[in-house]
Amino acid sequence: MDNNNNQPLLRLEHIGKEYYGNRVLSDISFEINPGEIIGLVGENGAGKSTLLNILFGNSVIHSTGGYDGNIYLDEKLVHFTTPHQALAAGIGMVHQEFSLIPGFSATENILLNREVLNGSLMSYVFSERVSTLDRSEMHKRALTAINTLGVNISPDMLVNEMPVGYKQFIEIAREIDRKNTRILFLDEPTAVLTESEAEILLSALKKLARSGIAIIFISHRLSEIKELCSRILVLRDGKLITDQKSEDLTLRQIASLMVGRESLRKEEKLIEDIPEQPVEIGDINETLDLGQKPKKKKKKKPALKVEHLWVDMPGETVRDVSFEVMRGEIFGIGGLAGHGKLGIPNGIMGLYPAGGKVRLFGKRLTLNRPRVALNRKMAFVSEDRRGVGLLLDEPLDWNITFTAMQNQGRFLLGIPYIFQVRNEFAMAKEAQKFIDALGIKCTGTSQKAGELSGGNQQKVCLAKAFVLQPDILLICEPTRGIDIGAKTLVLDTLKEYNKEHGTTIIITSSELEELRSVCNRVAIVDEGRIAGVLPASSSAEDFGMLMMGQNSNFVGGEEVNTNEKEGENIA
Amino acid sequence: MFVAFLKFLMRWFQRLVLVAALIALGIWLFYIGREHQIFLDNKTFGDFKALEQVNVSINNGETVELMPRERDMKKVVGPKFEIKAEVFDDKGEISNTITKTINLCFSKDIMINLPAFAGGAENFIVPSPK
Amino acid sequence: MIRKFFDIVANNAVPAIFILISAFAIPLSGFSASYLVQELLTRIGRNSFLILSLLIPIMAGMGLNFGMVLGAMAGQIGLLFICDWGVVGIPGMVLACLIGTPIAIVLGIFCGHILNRAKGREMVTSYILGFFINGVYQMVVLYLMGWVIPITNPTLLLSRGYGVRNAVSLMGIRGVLDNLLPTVIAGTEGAKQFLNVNGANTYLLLQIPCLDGAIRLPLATFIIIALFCAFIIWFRKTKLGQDMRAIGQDQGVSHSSGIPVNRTRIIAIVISTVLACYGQIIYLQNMGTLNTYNSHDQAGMFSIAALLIGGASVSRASIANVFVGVILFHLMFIVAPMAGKNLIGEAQIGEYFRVFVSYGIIALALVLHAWKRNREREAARRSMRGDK
Repeated sequence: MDNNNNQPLLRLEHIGKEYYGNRVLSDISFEINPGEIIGLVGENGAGKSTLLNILFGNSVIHSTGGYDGNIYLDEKLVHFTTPHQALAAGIGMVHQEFSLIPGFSATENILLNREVLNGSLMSYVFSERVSTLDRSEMHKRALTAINTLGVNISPDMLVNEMPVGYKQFIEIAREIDRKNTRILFLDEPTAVLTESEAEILLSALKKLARSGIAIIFISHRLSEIKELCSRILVLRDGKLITDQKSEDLTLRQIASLMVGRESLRKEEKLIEDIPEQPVEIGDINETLDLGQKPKKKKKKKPALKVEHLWVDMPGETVRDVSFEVMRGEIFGIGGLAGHGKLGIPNGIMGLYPAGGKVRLFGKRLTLNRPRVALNRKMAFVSEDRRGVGLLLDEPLDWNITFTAMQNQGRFLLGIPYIFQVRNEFAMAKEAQKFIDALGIKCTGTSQKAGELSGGNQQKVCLAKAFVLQPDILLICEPTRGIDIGAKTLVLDTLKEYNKEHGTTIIITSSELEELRSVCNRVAIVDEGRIAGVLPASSSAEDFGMLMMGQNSNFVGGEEVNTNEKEGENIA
Repeated sequence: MFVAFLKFLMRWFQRLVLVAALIALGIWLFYIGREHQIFLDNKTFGDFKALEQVNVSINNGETVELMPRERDMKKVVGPKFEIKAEVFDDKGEISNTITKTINLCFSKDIMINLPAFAGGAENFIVPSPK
Repeated sequence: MIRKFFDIVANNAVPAIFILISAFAIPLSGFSASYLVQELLTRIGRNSFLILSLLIPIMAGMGLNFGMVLGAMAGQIGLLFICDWGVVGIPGMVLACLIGTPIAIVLGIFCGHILNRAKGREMVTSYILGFFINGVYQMVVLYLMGWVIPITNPTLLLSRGYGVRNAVSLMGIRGVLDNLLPTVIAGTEGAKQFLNVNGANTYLLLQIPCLDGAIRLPLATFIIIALFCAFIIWFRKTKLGQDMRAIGQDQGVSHSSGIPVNRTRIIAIVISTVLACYGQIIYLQNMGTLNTYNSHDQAGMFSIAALLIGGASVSRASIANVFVGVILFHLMFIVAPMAGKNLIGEAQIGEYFRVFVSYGIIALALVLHAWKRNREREAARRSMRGDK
């Protein structure tokens, strides 16, 4: 793409951002030229959203101390403090959550608040808003924008009657209808599209780029990035790891750059020992569906068998998930945020509407009934400590014994169903046992749960689950918001519990390293479906590939997939 | 910038004109829509003696007969009205007919002293009763 | 298919129930068709304007504007002034509107600001706000008028010298709008009778051969109402109307595209309040008497009930809903007392119906609205899931 004076359209210099001492972005520098399509890749938490917020002038940046570094648009220093400034300067953003008015037509949405007006005398006296809309002109403009994208949508179609993919196109059409849009950010635009819709989108974007608009394309789907983008930027832990031409990188390299954390691993010492619990090779093969005949076919009944589970959890939708967990296994569920990994345990436990088939030790589990799940000796530790996990205003002994009291009738004195009172003594004793075992820092069993630190609150939630003496323990984000020392303690506790009691544990976490250090096997969830299940000892790269939508069948390091375009060395 | 300011000024000027027009309209409505009470008084006023009988009609409406020391009231909408008074003398014949158009402007009620009115005096309008 | 049928039933259940009740009660009441038509025409003329003023806030997503009673109070203050000054006829009515307008604007801005702080709870807030302003109004009318605010007409004031009395005669403007273009629809027989009684000159006469009796039609009022409907239709086509429709559906999206959400909402409430002011003046010129402390009380409730009966919902209302609603609601008013008396000897049942139905229908509409909103949200999430 030839630009007029060979100067970059957008240039970032040493951009950084700190949130109250927590550095999320450091020393980001790169350039974009007109007509270039750049792929931005990174796990959640890598800093992508922060970078977007900075470039787009969102108030969350401005109100928390601004950002470091400089941004140059056409080599002129710019500083946006509101999205409207960014819009006026020619930067458009298409978010993941649709910003559309459902009852309006495509035309009305494309021209939202930029409608074409018929001037009149009254508008002069009162305000422009009193003029009527020139609908035929609006129709023409909308049609132009839609045709620029090369898609076939009627401008008069109502948004709430459109398939999801079309809505995405309308969003983009809105940005390009603005006369001066020169840079377009697209945040996971293909997440909700079907394959055919995604293809149409990609060709539409290429068409746009040819007309001179620079596009920054954020996605976790490796194949799309490779196909569409001329350059790829990889972000990890707030730093720009790589900025290379897309043809110079293989898919594996991108995945490895995205998730690989060689140095960190050593520091955190989390990969001390991969658990001794033997997992038969046969099981792995079954799960991966390679078609290889296993040597010893042991028909072991899985502790938990999930078939075609769907869960309606806002933000973590699960579409179609099937997997098996063996008795005594520590099973991990990982994946990028928002793809559904948290939805799985929440759905199984009945906290959100769910459907599909779940078998617990061979017997069907009724879904949507938390009580039933608890009675079947499943325990759940929610990712939402404060909201779901704890009674913040109640003392610790209450919190620790409450679920057991309600579901198993323990810690009560008296005659069941007729008259019962709490056995305060037993409650306190049990609570103290766990306070000692888990090292919960508190002033005593009667301290209110809300007063504890995050890490200790998490330990209380764990204790509550352990009291139930469950057969299966579902834990979500066990170490979120906890300091390093407490993290290790929590993970070690889980390992010990599994060893001592043989409890099957299913851990859901966004930290891949954690899962790899504790679990036997790890499943990766991608867009509401299981992308694959690998033994924990598999390389970080392999997991990275799964997260990037490479639903490949591969064992260890061997690749059998055909997703790569160029013939490359198989590692 | 200057153009924008001028536009701003013009717009507010036009709004001011509009508001002023509405206020003027209000005043005009008040003027033409007000209902006034015309009190007709047949009482001795200074040199003018009370009339034997006088027939008064306002705007060619119903005629009202007034004997000495009688008082009557008629309602009128609008500032102008025509009052016709026919004075009867002792013999029962019309001795005098006076027609006049009175403009009330913004006063509400007035009382007309008929003897003075009939006698052609200038100040026949006397303070109206409370 | 079944879902569509269910939707149609759900949307039109309320008017259907009312048609049923009326169909049952009309023959019971023993009223003649021409009497009913006459009464209905009068009531349509009297009430439609008030109900039409509710449409714009619904369009802007602010629900049912219980705060229209603020406009009613503004109109009543205007009427008090013209009674004091003795301005009569059409000029009197117009002047009352002129005086009421700035008061209604101020009250509307006040109401709008408060509703902006109570997003999502506009209806309850406006309901309570109505009570509050009622208190302020009563203080103004009961204490300040005749004392700080000069009122000189003794027929208006209480015997203690200040404060307005409860029943104020509006003889000066009684029926002025209704009778501005006096129109009569009559059959040949009725026409003859009518002309014999009333004289031929001043009336516009429409003859329909088969009609029994003579029906007076307040033509000027209907023309004003038609103009208002035209205004609403035009308003929807303007940018302001478009902005309001956008805000009514999704405030977040509207805000992020630059529409001044708070300001637009205030404008919607101000327009509604001012129109309620005019509507109340039209209503009172038909009634002929102003109950200073009571007339505005039920203005909001009955108008909203009528609108809902016409098939409107908290989030969607059309002009058709207004007229269907006013006809059905008032039809029930007219026939229920007589039907009740003829059926069970209790004429009081009419009053009972009136109150029970008004409140009941509003409660029903609010519940249906909340239920529907939940269903829509769930459906949206289902579609994001990929239709499973």
